[in-house]
Amino acid sequence: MIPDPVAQVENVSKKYCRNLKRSLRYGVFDLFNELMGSNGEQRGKLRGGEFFAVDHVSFDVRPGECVALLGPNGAGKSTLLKMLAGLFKPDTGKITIRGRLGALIELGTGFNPILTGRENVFVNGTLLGLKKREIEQRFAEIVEFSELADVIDEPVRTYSTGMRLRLGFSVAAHLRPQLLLIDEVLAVGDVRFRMKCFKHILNLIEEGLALIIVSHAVSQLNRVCNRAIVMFDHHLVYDGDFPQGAALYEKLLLETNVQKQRVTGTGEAEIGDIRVANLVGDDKINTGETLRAEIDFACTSSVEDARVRVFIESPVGGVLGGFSTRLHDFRFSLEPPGQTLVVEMPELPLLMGAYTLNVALYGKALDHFIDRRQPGAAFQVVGPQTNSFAMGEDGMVRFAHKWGLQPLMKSYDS
Amino acid sequence: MHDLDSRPIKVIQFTPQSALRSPVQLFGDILQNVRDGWALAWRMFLRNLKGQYRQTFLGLFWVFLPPLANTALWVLLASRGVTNFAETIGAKYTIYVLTGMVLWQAFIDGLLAPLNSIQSNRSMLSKLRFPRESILMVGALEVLFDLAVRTLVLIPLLLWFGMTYSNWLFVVPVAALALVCLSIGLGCLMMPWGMLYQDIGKLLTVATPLWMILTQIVYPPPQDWASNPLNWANPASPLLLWARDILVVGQSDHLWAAIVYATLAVPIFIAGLVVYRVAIPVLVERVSN
Repeated sequence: MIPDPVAQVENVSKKYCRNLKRSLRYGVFDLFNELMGSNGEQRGKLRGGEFFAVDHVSFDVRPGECVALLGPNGAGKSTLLKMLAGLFKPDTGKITIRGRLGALIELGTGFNPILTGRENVFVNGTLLGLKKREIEQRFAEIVEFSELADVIDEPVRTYSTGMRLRLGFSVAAHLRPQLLLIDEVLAVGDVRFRMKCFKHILNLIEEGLALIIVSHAVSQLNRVCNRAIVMFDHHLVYDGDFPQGAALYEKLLLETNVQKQRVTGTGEAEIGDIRVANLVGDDKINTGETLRAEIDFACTSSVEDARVRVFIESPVGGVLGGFSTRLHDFRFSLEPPGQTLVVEMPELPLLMGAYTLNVALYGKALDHFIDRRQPGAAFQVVGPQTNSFAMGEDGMVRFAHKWGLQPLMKSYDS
Repeated sequence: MHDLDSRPIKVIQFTPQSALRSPVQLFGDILQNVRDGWALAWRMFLRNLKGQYRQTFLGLFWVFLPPLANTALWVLLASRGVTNFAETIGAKYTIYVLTGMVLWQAFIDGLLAPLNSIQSNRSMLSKLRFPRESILMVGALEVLFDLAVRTLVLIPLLLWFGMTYSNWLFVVPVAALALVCLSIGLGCLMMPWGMLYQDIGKLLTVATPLWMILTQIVYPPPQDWASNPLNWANPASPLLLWARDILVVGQSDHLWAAIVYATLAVPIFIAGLVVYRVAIPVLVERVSN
């Protein structure tokens, strides 16, 4: 039997107004309507200067599901999360939460720097809804998890940012919610502590916790999330398996975040369309397939002994590498009205994610720069699935390798 | 180790409807939140108290300093003949003003408590879900704590200057509580507008000294107090004047006015709670950072 959803989001929207004066004026109207016992119908109508920060979104989350809420900045993720957490009221639709709700929008909110870590654990725990007895029972566990036993009786102002976050997460991690909402807070402490947090969350998911997590660190979410919801331009544009969602998110990121840099040089030729696909013409490519790119050049006069550099970029990893026509001494000249250059990359070593293939065009002389397209054409590597638990391959690049075993070369006796 | 909560599953719904459309549920929720938020309020109150005085040398003395300094100012003015306020009261002028100041301070603290508590917890309100009423309870606890500390200093001074015994003396704490309730209720009604527009806070800063003079803290009220509707319209005045009269001179002409305002304090406080509760989601959206 499919369990009831822990969170049910039905046709939910939230309005927003960027102009402060107007926003405050609308606040007065809203307040007045609230006090008059409004049925909420007029809340769904936009007034001058308002737009939907979250636009009619619907989805369900069931126990044991771990959902990554992805999207470029300003897509509406945090607003949606704040509505789920009951901090903002929806302007249309309905949100139903079944069970105890925990929300980590910011770790360590409510810490007083003058008080000790111990005192703050009690304040923060109570703030997150734990009873005094529950905190006392779990105090040792909380301190052990935070690894701050030595300094727990020192004032929190003497803690580093990382230490404060560790204490904040440790308290929050010992809540017992049925639905946990996390907003960008898992950049906690060092890598080892982060792994510990993920492991803890995985344990909770196994026990039936449902999790909705907002983060830009897609490679980390890979460890815990089995589903992705992608928001773009205030709408829900994808709801399904995580890897495909993550790839779509990276693609959207490329289209929105990367500033278009069209640098033109001497002008006798320019780079036209760039088409990227596998050998059967599909722009959704698998690792290990042959990637084929067709690059159009349009020119008004001939370019003798042209040079082209192709380089691959990832929105999260930067430029991964590049190569030019001169590497294998491929020499050509461009003649009006232009030609299409074809490049094939057999056994594509890129793993799942979104990438761009960028192009730069040069003339014969070292300093003869003609045109550059960055970002060029976007493409997605959609499979096979990666794995971050040392059970497969992960990251962005596939490394050819082979394993072997040999006797120890020195002794490790203590 | 991390077993999930086994208590019965609670269903919460968030909709655009005003909470006032289901008043029974609204009052139920407020009561539930007061119960759930009590432990949190107490802990936050202790946190603020410890945090506030840990870095001071004089500690709690700072609680008593404002009414003391204000009283000293008016006593000095009277002793130099700048005012003739002390003439009708005589030797008890100091304790008369001090008692008034202690009660006035409680009223003003109560009036500002909702706005100040929300202002100082803005970031927490926009990031954490917890019983919103607990912040108000922290504010109320702080007002009551300060009033209690001031009373502890006031009692020996009252005895020193000589009190006139009256059976009404035992009703004074009720009047003081009613005054605090009234001020917090009014503060809650004012809070949403003050959160949206800083004009309210600025206006209060400017108007408070004038209001204090109009409340007749530093001089005895005129004989025909009750015939002036302006005096009745001042919510700070009746309860404060009555309580002070009983404490300092043992009798008062303001009994009926005090009863009216003590009775009004209850509905005003409840209305304040409702406005506070209904307004917070709108405010969090508009002014969260």
